[in-house]
Amino acid sequence: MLIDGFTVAAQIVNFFILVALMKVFLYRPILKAMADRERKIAERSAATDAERQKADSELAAYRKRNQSWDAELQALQTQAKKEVDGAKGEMLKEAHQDVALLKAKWQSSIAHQKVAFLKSLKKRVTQQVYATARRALSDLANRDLEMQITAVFIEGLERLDQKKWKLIGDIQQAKGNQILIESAFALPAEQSNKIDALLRAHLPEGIVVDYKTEANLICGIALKVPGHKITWDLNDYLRTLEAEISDVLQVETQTFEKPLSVS
Amino acid sequence: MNITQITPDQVIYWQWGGFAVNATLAYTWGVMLLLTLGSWLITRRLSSELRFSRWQNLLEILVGGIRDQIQEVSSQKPEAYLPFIGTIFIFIAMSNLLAVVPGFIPPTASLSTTTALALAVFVSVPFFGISKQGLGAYLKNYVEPSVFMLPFNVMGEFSRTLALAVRLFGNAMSGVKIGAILLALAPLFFPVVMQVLGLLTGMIQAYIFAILALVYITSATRAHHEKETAPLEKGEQKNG
Repeated sequence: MLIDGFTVAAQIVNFFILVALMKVFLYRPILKAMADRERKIAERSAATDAERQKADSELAAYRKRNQSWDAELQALQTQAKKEVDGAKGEMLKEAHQDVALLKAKWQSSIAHQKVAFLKSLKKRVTQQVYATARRALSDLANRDLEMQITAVFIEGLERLDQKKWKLIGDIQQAKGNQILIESAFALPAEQSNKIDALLRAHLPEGIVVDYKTEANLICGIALKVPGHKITWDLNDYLRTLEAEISDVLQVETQTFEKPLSVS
Repeated sequence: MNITQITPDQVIYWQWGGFAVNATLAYTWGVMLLLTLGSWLITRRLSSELRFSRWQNLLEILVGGIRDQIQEVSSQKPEAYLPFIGTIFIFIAMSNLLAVVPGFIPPTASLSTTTALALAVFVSVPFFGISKQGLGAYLKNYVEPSVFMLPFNVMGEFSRTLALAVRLFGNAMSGVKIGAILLALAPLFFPVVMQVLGLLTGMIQAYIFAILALVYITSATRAHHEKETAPLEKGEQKNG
């Protein structure tokens, strides 16, 4: 017989015992471990999702904040640039004004210095020319020149018209008969006599002619009555020269002053 | 070939009165001990963390696969059927796999064992059916679609139990026996091929037995399940 009743019964019992053993030692612990793991994974996944959502929200907040900061920074930069440009413009304007002022002051100072220098130069040049000419003429004033000068003076007296002689005569009578002849050198007797004769010929009688040596007259000779004077003197030439030099330098000074004037 | 070579029931190791410890029982206990001890050794230090041992991974794949298969076939929650169906599969598969061990006689090669397993299924069908539907609803299935079908339904219950037992016995026994015959005829190459084929057919038989048991149990519980789900489906359609 292929089927043994006792074996069948024993195998049924064995099988259900095995079912119970497997349930205790295999299915229950394995399923529990799998369920626990799935639960933990689900929890971790949920926690991860929550963290990710939190991170996403924080990221969004940070991005928004960054954008806000960027915009603020941009605005600040624009404002700062505007202020800097304004300040730069102001400073440049002030600097230009300062430079212009300093330049004007400097040019004014230069102009003043130049004018002062030219004035000083004019004075010195004039004085020097005058002194040099005076010295040269003094050095050149020898006897022949003095005589020549006196001769020219006498010629001048001789060319005086009657009106002037009359004027001199009137003055001489009104103020006393004193006539003073000043010269830079002592007149020779011949020429003084000639002058005396000439004066006495044209003037009323009673005149007194005095002769005086005056160093200030350069190679010159002068006839003086109160209020009037007839003279031939290099001083006149020199004064004329001085006046002409002064005029020329004055023109030069004005030429320099004009472009340097501050507008 | 005598009867002891056809069924291990006749290989008696120890006898006391009507109680005889034959090879079928002895090797069944061996398989039971191996499964229980192995399960205990692996599951005593289970980890529910993300890192766990390879043995635990193997058992989780096995148990998870059985559970998913039950869910797929029955369309019901698998926890109630897992110990019964899973144990059928693991026991038969382990017995058939160990057939390659020289000297091991698989208990499934005994018609008594397969009959016992088929009887267990035969008993479990009304057990699960009644526990799910109740006694009246379960018994009503036998007179469906008409009362004239009652004899056929009852015959069907018995015949499928017989078919389960004989199918498994024939496959397990024939694999062993054909291997032994080929070993005598061509001892070098063919027995190895037959052993490999035997492993494959052994696994397939374990799967078929477990799936058929599941189908029978499910057919006894499905009517109740369909009655439960039908109003829901109508409600879903209305909502949809």
